[in-house]
Amino acid sequence: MEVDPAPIPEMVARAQCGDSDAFERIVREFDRSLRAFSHRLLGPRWTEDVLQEAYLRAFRALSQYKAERGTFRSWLYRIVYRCCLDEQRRRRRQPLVWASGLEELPSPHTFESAVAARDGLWDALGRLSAEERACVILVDGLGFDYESAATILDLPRGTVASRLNRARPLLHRALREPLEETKGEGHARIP
Amino acid sequence: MHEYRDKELAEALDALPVPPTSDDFYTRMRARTTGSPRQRLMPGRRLLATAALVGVALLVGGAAGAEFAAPSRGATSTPVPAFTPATGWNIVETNNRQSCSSCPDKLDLAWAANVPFAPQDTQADWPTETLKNLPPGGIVIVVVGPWTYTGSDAIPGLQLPVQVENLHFEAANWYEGQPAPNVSSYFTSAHINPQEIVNVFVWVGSDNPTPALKAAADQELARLTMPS
Repeated sequence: MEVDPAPIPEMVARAQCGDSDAFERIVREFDRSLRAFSHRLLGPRWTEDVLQEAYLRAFRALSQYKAERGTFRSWLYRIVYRCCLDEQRRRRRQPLVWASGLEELPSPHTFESAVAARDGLWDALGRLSAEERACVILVDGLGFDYESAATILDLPRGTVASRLNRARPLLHRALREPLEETKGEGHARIP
Repeated sequence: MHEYRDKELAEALDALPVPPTSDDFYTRMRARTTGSPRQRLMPGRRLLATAALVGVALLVGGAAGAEFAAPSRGATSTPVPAFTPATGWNIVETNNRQSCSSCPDKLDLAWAANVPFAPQDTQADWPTETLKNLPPGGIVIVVVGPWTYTGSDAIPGLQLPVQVENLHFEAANWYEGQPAPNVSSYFTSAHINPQEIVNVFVWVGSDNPTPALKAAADQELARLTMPS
């Protein structure tokens, strides 16, 4: 974790009183991992505006955060996750690169980062549902435990485990096999 | 349920690029978050509140007579959370809202500890170094506020004396804000009046606080006074 946790409770208390500098400091500490989370979750739909919207939403909702209910980090992740889902819904009518259905799957190469990174992995991530993708990114990608991921995604812990059980083999196959060979039960084959 | 992190996927996901932060990202964010999310008192009410605070402060100020040399910071003429001095306990108090007119959103703080505060902490806003080096049996208490709460959650009223058994407990295995591996935490938010709440933090140098340690914390919490 890149976070120095020591000042977080105080920073949160200050931010809750309207101290936007304190809020910015918290955001700066969590931003990189939230950026990774939201980017991997949305793929080509990702723009920085998603994070802007999420942080603004968090700032406005600061008074609703209660430490007894969970960590501030989890609370912030949850807001970012919801903003990502909203973004997905908003753009549903636009051409998609990532989707769960065959009819919505155009070429994976429209996502610029896919070329720079690993086409197969990006593509396989895109074949997962948003929940499955979020579980993998949080637990395997960012090192959250199942309980924390469940809190962020508002799912039972067992559901997180089952989403991971389903998603992991698909991603492993994508890492090992050529893109054209990748297919899975209930998932679309790349055209 | 077997819980694990898939190392191969972790490495693969780690290799994916993370988009850089644009130059104006925080400038844009700052522009949108300028201003307070909390409800502020209307000017008339604020004036009344200030008058009431000053009145009570005069009464409290006249009766004050600390016998313990506490490293107190800032003015203390308005009622803020405070610990009555006691042998073996160090206290630090701030009254930022009154002493720092340029930072009206700075919070008042009251600290108490049965260990010396790290010198750098007494000039800082948080006992960070003291907490990082809290020895076994050490206790640090921090009270933050009061501050205006506008959330919708039901927050209980503050029951004095505060007792650690009534606070939310985080054992020293991992929690957000954990200052050191052996430090457990107690925490609560509570209303002191219909608009305002305080946060009470208690850290103890133990991963399994003993009854004696909790009793010592309770004794100091019993010396906590709050503005009404």
